[in-house]
Order: sequence, then C-alpha cells, then structure tokens
Amino acid sequence: MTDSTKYILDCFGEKLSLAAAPYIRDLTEIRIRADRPVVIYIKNRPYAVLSDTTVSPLNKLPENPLIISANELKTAFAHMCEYSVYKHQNDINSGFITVRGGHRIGLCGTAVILNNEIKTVSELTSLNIRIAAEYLGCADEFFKLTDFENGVLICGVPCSGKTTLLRDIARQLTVMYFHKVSVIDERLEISSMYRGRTPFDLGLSDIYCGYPKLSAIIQSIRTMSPDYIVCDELTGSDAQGVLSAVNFGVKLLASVHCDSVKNAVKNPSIMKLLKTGAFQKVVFLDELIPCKIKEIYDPEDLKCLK
Amino acid sequence: MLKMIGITAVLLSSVMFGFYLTRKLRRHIEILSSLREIMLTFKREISYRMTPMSDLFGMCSDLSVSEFTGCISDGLQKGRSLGESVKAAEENTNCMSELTGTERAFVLQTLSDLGGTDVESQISMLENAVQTVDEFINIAKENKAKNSKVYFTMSLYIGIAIAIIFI
Repeated sequence: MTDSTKYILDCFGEKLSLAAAPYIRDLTEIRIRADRPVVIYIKNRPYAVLSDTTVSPLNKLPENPLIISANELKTAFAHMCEYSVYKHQNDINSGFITVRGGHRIGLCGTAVILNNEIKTVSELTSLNIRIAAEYLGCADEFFKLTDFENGVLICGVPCSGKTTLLRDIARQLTVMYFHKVSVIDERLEISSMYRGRTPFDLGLSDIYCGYPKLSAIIQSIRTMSPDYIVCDELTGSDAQGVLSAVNFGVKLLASVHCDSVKNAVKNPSIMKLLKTGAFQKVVFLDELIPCKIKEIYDPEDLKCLK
Repeated sequence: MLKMIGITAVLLSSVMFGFYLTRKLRRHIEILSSLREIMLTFKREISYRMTPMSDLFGMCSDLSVSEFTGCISDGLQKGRSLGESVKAAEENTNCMSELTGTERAFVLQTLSDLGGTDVESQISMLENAVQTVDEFINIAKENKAKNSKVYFTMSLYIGIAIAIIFI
C-alpha cells in the first residue's frame, strides 16, 4: 500500500513526497487546496506541510507552508488518474475517484451543469485524498459480538472504519466460515478494484464492481447464489434491492452513514431499511477508534426509540 | 577486369545512396501514417472502451513507431508523468528524428497533452490532431514525389561521373 501512497505523493512534487515520507504508513488523509497550505492527516491528526519539507501540528496556520498552485493541482490530478481522466468521468461527476492502491480522492471545484445534471467539474480547487487501509482481523470483534448469521447494519461516521470492517467481514466469511459471499461495490470503495485486481484481501468473495446496487443484488442472487451480500453505504432508495435479498433468503451485511442511535431513529432512510426486515442487528462504530464496535441494538429497540 | 569491378562498385554504391535517400522520404511518410493510425486508435478506444492511457500506448505494437509508444507506456507504468514519458521516449528511440522540427514539436505536444480531460474533449483533440497529421502527410507525399526521382537520378549520374573520371 505504501508504494501507491508514494505514487500519489510524487504526483504533487518532491517536497510533499519528502515531507510525508517518514509518516507514509500512518497517513490517513492528504488535503490539497489550490494556492492554500497542504494539510496531511497522520493517524487522523492534522499536520501542516512546510516548504522546508517538514510537518508541524496544525494549531495555527504556518508562516512558511507548502503551497500547491491551481495549475499544479490540475496536473497532479491528471497524473493520479494516470492520464486517463476520461475513464473517471462518471466518478468525477459524483465527486470522487478511486485510484491505484484503492485510495479515494474527493473532488471539489466548479460544476458544469447541462440539462440539470453535472456534466463535469472544471477548475478543481480542493482534493481530499483518503488513504485506503486494510486491517486483517479487524472484524474479529464483529464476529464475536454479533449474530452475523442474520443480517447486520453497520452505522458509523466517516473514517470510523465501516468499509475496512466490511472488507474483513467479507474475507473472514469466505475463508474462515466458508460461506459464499457477493460483495456489491458500486463506488469501488470496498474492493478498490483497479484493472481487474483488488489490492485488498477479500478472500473468496465474488465482487460486483461499479454495478448499481439494485442490479447487482438481483444479478448476484440469480447467478452467484450467495449466502451473504456485503455492501457499503446503503440509502433509502436501496430498500427495494434489500427487500429482494430478504425474499430470496440471502443475508445482508451493509453499512450506512450515521453517528448515533438518536440520529438513526430520525433518519427515514435507515428506518426504511430496517423495515425491510433484512437486519437483525444494528451496530454502531466508535468515532475515535476505527472499526471498534461501540453499541449493538436490535432494530426493534430503534423502532421503539422512535 | 579490376576496372570493371571498380566501376560496378561505384555505380552500385551511388544507386544504393539514391535508394537510401528515397527510403528516408518513405520512412518519413510511414511514421506520420503510423502516428495518424495511433491517434485514430486512441480516439476509437477512448470513445468506446475508455482504455487507460498506458494501455493505449502499449497497444501500438504492430506499427512502425512501436518502440516509441512502448517506451511511453513503460514510463507511465513506472509512474512517470506523461510529459516525462514522452520526452524520455523521444530521447531513447529514433523514430521522432525522422520528422521535421514542426512535426516533431506538434506530435510531442499532442501526446503530452492527452488524457487530461473528458471523453468529448479527448475525441475533438484527437480529431484536430489527425487533421494536422493529414496535412503533414500530404506535404511529405508531395515532397517525396518531387524529390525521390531527383535523388535517384542524381546519385546514378554522380556514380557514372565518378566511374568515368576513374577510367
């Protein structure tokens, strides 16, 4: 994974590469804003990169920060896309791309709208590079604490390790429990598939990349006969697909964005998903320690709280 | 007998020189045509399959500039920027040396600018590049038609002249 991280750093020039090199294994995010100081996150803590290729904790704006110009940012972006920006066009319109090594780059710029749809993003101004991580065994606690024989919905804030956890769940289900698992990876977040290969260990899972969730769930049920379907970031609109899985007796392990029980019961999307009956447990992840389970609820408890 | 051998050698070498000069003109057109073919392949691949750039450069193995494009593909796979890869390919192979200064500058700039935009922009960029390369090919063909006969005849006459002087 460090090779691909180094590749990304190199795209922004030697200075950033040198400054971040000592921390490359602990990098969690790199935030580049055009003509503004570069900030890197080491173990989820922000550090400013200085022009003398050192870093300092981001307590205040540094006097001699490393600045990446708008033009450099544009060139680096093309480089990270391996000069195949056209290949990522749909992802760019959705606001992110996945690059070599499975790292996800969030994009911010000026949207070009045509017929009420984002046609492209011009003048990129900010990039948020989330360094992909793999922690083999991070799902051990999940298997100990939950009744995974039935469906489980994993809730957590961004960077709480939902995707990392799902990855290890898929791996363990196939190589330790010998179940048939289909991974539905619409936005290439779980597998980070790159040229038909995933940099992560997903065991013996069948991976559906880039398919819309509903199509993938239906195709998977019809053709791959999975025991489990693993998918990331469900929304209320995915309820129909979830229901299809339930009707065919396939168990679902999925994640949603949500920080607390309080907000979960207020979230109509989550309640809609729970109403499908696909999930027998709702797991909330810790905000500070990635992949750590904070609370486990029965869906009925949440419905009562509502 | 020795004189006859000498005359034959002189005539043969002058004819060979004439062939060499015409071959250079042919090679020039061949390289431009290969570059045109590459651009059309890129256009097709980008519009239908969105093939990544490093694969695109690696796909041109059967063309006369395969060494050059292969070198670019290698550079991209090693993580170099496209501009650097194109520059390195130009330095390490001799395909581009057959082109004129204007042609070389245009081709290198076009290749270095590829891949930075969406499909539509890439296609229109490649279409414009193909048009320009077509113009280069037409000029090169006219040049060849005009000069190849001259080169061949001139070298033959020079050979005969040398032979006569020796006799």
